[in-house]
Amino acid sequence: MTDPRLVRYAQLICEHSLHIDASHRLHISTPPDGAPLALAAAREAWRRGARVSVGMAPEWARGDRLRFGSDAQVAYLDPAELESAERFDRLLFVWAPGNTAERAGVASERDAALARARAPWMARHDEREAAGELLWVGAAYPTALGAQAARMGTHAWEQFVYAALLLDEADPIGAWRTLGERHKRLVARLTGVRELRVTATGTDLRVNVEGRAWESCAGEANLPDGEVFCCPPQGGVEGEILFDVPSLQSGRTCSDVRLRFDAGVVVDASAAIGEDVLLARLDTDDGARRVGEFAIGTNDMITRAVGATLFDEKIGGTCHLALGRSFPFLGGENTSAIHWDLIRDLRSGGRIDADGEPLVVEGKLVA
Amino acid sequence: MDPFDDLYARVIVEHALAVRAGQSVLVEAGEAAEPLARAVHRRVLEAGAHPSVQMLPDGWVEAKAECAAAEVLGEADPLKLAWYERVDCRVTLLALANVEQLAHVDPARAAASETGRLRAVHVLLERDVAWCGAQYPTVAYAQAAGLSLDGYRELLGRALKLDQPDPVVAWRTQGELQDRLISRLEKVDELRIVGEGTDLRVRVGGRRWISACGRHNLPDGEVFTGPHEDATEGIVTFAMPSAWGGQRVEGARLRFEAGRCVETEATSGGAFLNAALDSDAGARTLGEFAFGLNEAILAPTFDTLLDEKIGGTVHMALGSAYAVTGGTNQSALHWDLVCDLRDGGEVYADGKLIQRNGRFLDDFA
Repeated sequence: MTDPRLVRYAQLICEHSLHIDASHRLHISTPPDGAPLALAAAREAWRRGARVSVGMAPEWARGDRLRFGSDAQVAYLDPAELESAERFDRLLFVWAPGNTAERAGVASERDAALARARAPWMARHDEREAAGELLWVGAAYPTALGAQAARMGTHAWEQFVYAALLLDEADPIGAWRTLGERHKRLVARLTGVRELRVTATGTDLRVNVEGRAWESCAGEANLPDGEVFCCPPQGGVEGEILFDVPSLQSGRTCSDVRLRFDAGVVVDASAAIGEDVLLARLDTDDGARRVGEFAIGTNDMITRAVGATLFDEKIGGTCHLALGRSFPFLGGENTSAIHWDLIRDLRSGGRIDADGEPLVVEGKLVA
Repeated sequence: MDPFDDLYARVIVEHALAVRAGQSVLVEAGEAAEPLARAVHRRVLEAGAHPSVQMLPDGWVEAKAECAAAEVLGEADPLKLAWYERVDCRVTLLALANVEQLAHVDPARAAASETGRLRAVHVLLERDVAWCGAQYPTVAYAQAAGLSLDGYRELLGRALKLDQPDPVVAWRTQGELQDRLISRLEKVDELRIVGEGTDLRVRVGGRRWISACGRHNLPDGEVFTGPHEDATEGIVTFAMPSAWGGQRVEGARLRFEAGRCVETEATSGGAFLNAALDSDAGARTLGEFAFGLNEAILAPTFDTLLDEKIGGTVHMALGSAYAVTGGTNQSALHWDLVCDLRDGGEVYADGKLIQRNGRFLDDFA
């Protein structure tokens, strides 16, 4: 029997995130572990009169292609795959992690070549999104392996995920709209602010945000969601920050990452665990040492870090800063192959001041 | 890797699809067929071609038949179209989790669901694509056939010739045998089928016989043609159950006059049978007549893909003909009904007995 929360989840996706009606063609992309959510979402979208297709690729396909394929096979993008980017105007990506180590032992250059082969698809996707031709949402689905990655039991993880999705609320869509209203007030408060100062243990960082637009994320493109963010101007980040929430990168954990910024550029970096990963990522390209995003997490149902950025960056009472690529639609100028969100918990002793006025104190918004 | 999956993959990649380097190969698979999908994917890579695997979630077809707008249900899936318009090869690994998934659905919607599927498949048929539907052993098929999963898997393995020293060679040999039979059937104008509740005349003279030996169906083993549209006369009884669009009919008896089915009876599913026959102008005319020639399939499994191949049966399809046979009947329907001749059945070719009890006489085949 379908979990009633899945039915509500499907309604949330189709109504709140994708605004699906009979004119739409929805493409659902899911790993096999996410099939129950794919089915529930498809039922809801069909009931709204839409066309729905599913692409369910097994996890081993990519690994086997990397392990047994020639360079030409690895670098191949099927023309049908590229064509499929043209035929849909609503996309649902079900995030249902399988084995995070499935590609262990595969040379990272080959993996990168496979990712590059998909670049034309990504480029068309971005173009169509920018042209307003499509909406997409990524939606988390709880799996046993996701639970393992979060170091929780499977049932406990399921409860955690559905709570973070606000699906335990009587009216989940209303709850996300309410968060959107809260975000509007926060964005109004942030608009016109010249400088944010983050202070906490090992942290005293000033981020110039003058003239930048703030974006509210309340379930439109990420589920779960809950953050407001902006793309700070280049050169305006000064000081030191200690990220006390660990970050998982390509199967490796980086914890207690410390960064020192001078004129917007990372000039000193260390980590308690995974320092080599940190330093290698910083050397990816010029943009990797600059900030692409600054954000405040607002989801109060996510109360602790679980090792998945999608969840951790939304924790109410945290802020995060992304190294690398920024978003041009918000005036971001930084370009990089990476976009790495690093998270600081402000709930014990941390604060953010906006032009000298308290904005977040002990993780709580002062609005 | 399980040898069953690896051998089966070899039959699919080398024999059915004959995959060549550089080709684009779409592998569609029901959830239970994931191990075979992986074996096929691996062999396609080894052949130097480009495999893409798309799994179908269990329950997808059922959910669509229940929820989609009628108009949407009868259309081709847009993602499938994008692929079918471009790929060089496509194999579907059939692996239902429930063979009765559409039994509760309104018959008209069940039929629309099948029409939508066929609309997409039609795109493949119109292009020069190597395509194949391959059955994978699931608990659902086993239960329907009244077998344990292991028992069904063994049956399927034999029907696929995976028990032969070299299955690919064994399918070629089957092809040669079928070609010899066709060289005899090509000279026949009228076939008469006689059996319990059956005395039917079908005109096939001038039409082309096609050998089906593991290219498009796995398992396989039949020769078929498209009979003359205006000549079928008499009565035929189908003791074996048959399903179309997920709806099952048992004990069907049809009477034909001048090529059209003018009277029907069935012990169950008669209403759906009549609805299907009324679905369009071509639905009451035979589009196919065929001899089943797979000697490894003995008892009915209640699944047309296998049952129509049983050595000693004939089957005929109401509805669309395959143009390659010279048959001209057109319909959205193509419903295969199987007639078992192994117990007392006889087939006459232009008045001469050629098959008795399901066995061709030595001087014919």
